[in-house]
Amino acid sequence: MEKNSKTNELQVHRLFERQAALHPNATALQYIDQKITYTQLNGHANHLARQLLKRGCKQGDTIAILMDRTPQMFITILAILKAGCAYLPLDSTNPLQRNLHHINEANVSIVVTDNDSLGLEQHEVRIISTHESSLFSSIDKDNLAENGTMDDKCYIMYTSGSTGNPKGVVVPHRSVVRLVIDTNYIQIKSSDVILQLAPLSFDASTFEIWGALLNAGTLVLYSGKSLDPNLFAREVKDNNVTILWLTAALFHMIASRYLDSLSTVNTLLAGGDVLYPKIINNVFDVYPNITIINGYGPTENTTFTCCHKMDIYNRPAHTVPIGTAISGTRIHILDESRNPVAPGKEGELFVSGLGVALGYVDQTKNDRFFYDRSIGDGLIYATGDRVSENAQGEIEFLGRIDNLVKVRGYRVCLEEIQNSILKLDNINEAVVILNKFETGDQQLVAFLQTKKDREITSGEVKKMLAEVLPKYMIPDLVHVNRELPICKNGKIDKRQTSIVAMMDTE
Amino acid sequence: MSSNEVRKIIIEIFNSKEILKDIESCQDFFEVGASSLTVVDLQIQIEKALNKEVETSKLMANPTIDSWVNVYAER
Repeated sequence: MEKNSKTNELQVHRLFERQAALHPNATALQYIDQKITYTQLNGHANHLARQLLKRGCKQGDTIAILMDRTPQMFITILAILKAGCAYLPLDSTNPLQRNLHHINEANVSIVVTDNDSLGLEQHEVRIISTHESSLFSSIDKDNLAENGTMDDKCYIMYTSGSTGNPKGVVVPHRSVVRLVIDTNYIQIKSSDVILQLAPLSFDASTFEIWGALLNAGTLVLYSGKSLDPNLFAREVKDNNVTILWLTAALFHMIASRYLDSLSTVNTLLAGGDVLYPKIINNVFDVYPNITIINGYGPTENTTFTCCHKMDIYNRPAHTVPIGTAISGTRIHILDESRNPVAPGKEGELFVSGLGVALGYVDQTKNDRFFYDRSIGDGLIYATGDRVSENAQGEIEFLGRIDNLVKVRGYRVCLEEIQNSILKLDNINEAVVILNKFETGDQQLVAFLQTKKDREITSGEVKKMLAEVLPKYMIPDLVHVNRELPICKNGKIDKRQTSIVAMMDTE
Repeated sequence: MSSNEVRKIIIEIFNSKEILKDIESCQDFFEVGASSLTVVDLQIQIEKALNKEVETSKLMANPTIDSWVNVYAER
């Protein structure tokens, strides 16, 4: 590695290699009782990278990962980058059909998996099983020669799309580096310990993984397959986790019911949805030294766009703003003709800068990415979020311009669920809404009408949807042939959905 | 604690959730529209009240009040 290369010119895996050289014996990964040092992780990743190249992967390829959260997963991620490729996380809880869509659309050359019964065998994609003994070793432990640029794609993540189809966001190395190095909302130190809790297919994992590994910190791998509050509390405490990211819904639950589990945490990031000031203030009452950060941002601008930092001296009042732009990001609040709004007025949030993704895998969907020198340099992304700036210069989130909602931190386009229901046999009409209760609970509810003289049970609908949609998009409640809650103007009639205490359809 | 006492506490906590107010004791929570996060929230509240820990996966696999009473009343 050249001695003089500046941090902001090094690709993600190069920054990791630099930390491995500077902190060879520091713990990179902690998984149950297993500790893996930076030297070990780097050596294994170098070995696997060479094995991937030997097996036909080429620079610039996209390689999918379908693995459980074990150290092997992180060796694989690093190996993919070191081979000059980008990783595409698949989710084992996704239906096969959805994973196949991602594999085909993103032109994935290889799937690395620890699951030998995937059902991908008949499809035209190469599968490498992590059970092959030659893959995980540190025989070829030296770093590979460097050749990539900061604009190379680093990963692809799929999110729910407003057209009713998932969209693959292509994120380059520079965007990941801008998120976790030399930034203004957090300073991650080598003594920090970050919990890796988010599924790899969710972009909070970008912050967790690279926040730790590019700053010589320790990444603790949550060992449960799904959320178990007792296991979560033990792993946070036993490993002295200092930095934790939680989705808004999970944060509200942990903070109101299970505050004891946060005793080692000094920086708590929460977001993905609106945060409640009351619950945040309760946390400060118990932990006066904690910093809580509201992290806001679409996947298209790499995990965080704006952050709002709170502590005991800066408590939230009536609302929790999404704050100000993080380093390397510029925000623009524009009206419908894309002119800046007057200060304090509502507008759509546009972003530019280093965090903006390269676009979607399917470039025909790129209409929200555009160039306009009168707004800003480089590619600009229209978030679809309605915001305003308050008197303190902080951005307040007001809602969406479309029908996109957040369900347990995931972005969900209600039309995507509606369209999936309409594709089922014998269905005439479908409406999906998100109920939010004051207790913080959320519930996706589908109302559907069958064709004349056809019957279908709610159980059957859920089962069929489970074959095409990820788990978090399956309606919790399905009403068959109940009157659709729609007014004559085509809008959803909130009065008719009297089953709900509070409703948010944005 | 007897299983009747456990049942009383569990039902009380379930009644605090809008979605689960009038649920039958043999009815599947997920069928009436509870999400997995709601179920975890109930778990935390019940465990605080009973001072007893149970694996979440055990509760998710048996999502009715009757089976939760059995799980929590078990010695």
